[in-house]
Amino acid sequence: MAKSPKLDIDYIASLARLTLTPQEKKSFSQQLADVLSQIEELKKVDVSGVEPTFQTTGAADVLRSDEVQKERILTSQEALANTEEKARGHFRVPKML
Amino acid sequence: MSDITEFSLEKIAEGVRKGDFSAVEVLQAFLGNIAEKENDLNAFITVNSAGALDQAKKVKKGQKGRLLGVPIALKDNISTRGLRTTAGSKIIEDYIPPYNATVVAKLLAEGAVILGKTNMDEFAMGSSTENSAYGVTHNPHDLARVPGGSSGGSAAAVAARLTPAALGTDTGGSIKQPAAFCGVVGLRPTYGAVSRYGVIALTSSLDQVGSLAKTVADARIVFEVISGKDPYDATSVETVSKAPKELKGLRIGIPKEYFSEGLDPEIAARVKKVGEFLEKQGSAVQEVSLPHTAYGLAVYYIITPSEVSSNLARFDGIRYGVRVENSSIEELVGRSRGKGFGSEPKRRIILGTFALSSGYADQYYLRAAKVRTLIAQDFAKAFEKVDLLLTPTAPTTAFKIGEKKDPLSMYLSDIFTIPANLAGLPGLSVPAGMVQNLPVGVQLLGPKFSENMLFEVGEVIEKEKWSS
Repeated sequence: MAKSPKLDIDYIASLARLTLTPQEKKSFSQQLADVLSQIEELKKVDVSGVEPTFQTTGAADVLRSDEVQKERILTSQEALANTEEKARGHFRVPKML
Repeated sequence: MSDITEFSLEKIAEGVRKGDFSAVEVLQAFLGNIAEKENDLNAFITVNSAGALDQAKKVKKGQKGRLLGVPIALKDNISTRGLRTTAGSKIIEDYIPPYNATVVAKLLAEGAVILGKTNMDEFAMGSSTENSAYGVTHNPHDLARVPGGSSGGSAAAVAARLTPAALGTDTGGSIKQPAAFCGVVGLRPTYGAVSRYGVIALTSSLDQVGSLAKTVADARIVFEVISGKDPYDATSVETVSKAPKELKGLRIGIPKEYFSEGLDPEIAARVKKVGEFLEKQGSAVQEVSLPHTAYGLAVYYIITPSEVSSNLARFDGIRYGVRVENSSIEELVGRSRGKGFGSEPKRRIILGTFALSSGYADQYYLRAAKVRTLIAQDFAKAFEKVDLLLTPTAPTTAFKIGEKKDPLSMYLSDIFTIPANLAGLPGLSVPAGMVQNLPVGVQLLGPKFSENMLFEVGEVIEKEKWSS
């Protein structure tokens, strides 16, 4: 049941939390329609019984011991160094509630 | 004194160790070339003149280190503590990382000097370095042409002797293709061979850090320094590089699907000539088939945007980067991203969000992941018959700045580098002379962890004089 690859740019941009200009919406819609039509080529491939590849190392469940790695802890000052919007050791954001 | 900027890495480190010249003299030689040529090339986003000088002054003769006093340039998506790291984007124009990437720590531990941060397509999305928010990098062989990309600044800097070697990152071909366009050596290691801790992520299932250098030997030293398992990157593995095999008796495959339309006939002829030359050196060359090659690009342009849409979610205007104030958090995030990102990241975020959205994820992302398996199986089957593959690195030589206007034609320049990357395989681009006064690269591909074999064969190819 392949749905038609119609890209609702307003909906997708809202999912992506990305504000686009009207011009961008127009040009991206056209360019992405071209890219999607190329990608339709993949429908020609028989993938029945084929397992997907999400990574290529073959590693699974890579775990580490639950210990504090002191050498890579940022101080509060370091973590906040790249923003002006901070207060009392926290990042400042607009009121949410 | 002879020109230090033409020395091998080993010769520079040896000279500094013995006291033949100082690390400061080495640095000044390269800064001299930068002063002379950088205005024309724009290979760097940040030249670390003062910081590098401080580092170089601390290097003393007699010290240990494989890269003692050797300046290294880093692609600007590799985090450097205290040194601005932009990933070629305006969205983090003023970002100063509070920590070093593991590869940077490893370079410093061997005595290297961080020369600067090189230009790149924004977030490594591109094949020409035209998509940088910091201007286009020009190809040293012809300033009207692109250096390739996305590690175009690193490739141009090595080619023009602004640095003895550089690090790049390669997702779809971003080390190998610019290396070919600029006439330098470029290694994309096996996926997992080099830690990505501290490297700004594009496509986590594909990204690898590798080296660009004048010679295979130099690319090899840098690889040996930066590779190895890192507890901070769960995908990294201990490199168990296989021993090289002798060229005599080596079985080399040339995949017939790579000689399709779109490949410059002169490049095709050069690759065949390299094959004949290797045969004369005692290897056995045969044609092989990688039947799913044609689907590589389509798979790549589903998987990459999908992972991009997730990886670039961290740029939200809150902790760093461009922030457009608004009383609503949603609007603040959306507008900050809308202002900070350039066109190509936006395009890929939209495409990836679409490909992963409800109702489409199976049709696009899952199907692409399955075709990716078939592409990897093609290589596995080929490596039952041959030890390594010889292909063109790119379908053309360096194209003109501004020549490729639509995204699709740009995507096609990675058509020969993408499939092996999807399979996690190592690849080396080695210069094989010029065609119409522009460099040509050939790509050597091997099974996982066969870097040593690629280096051995690459050295034989680079020693031969290829006409014009």
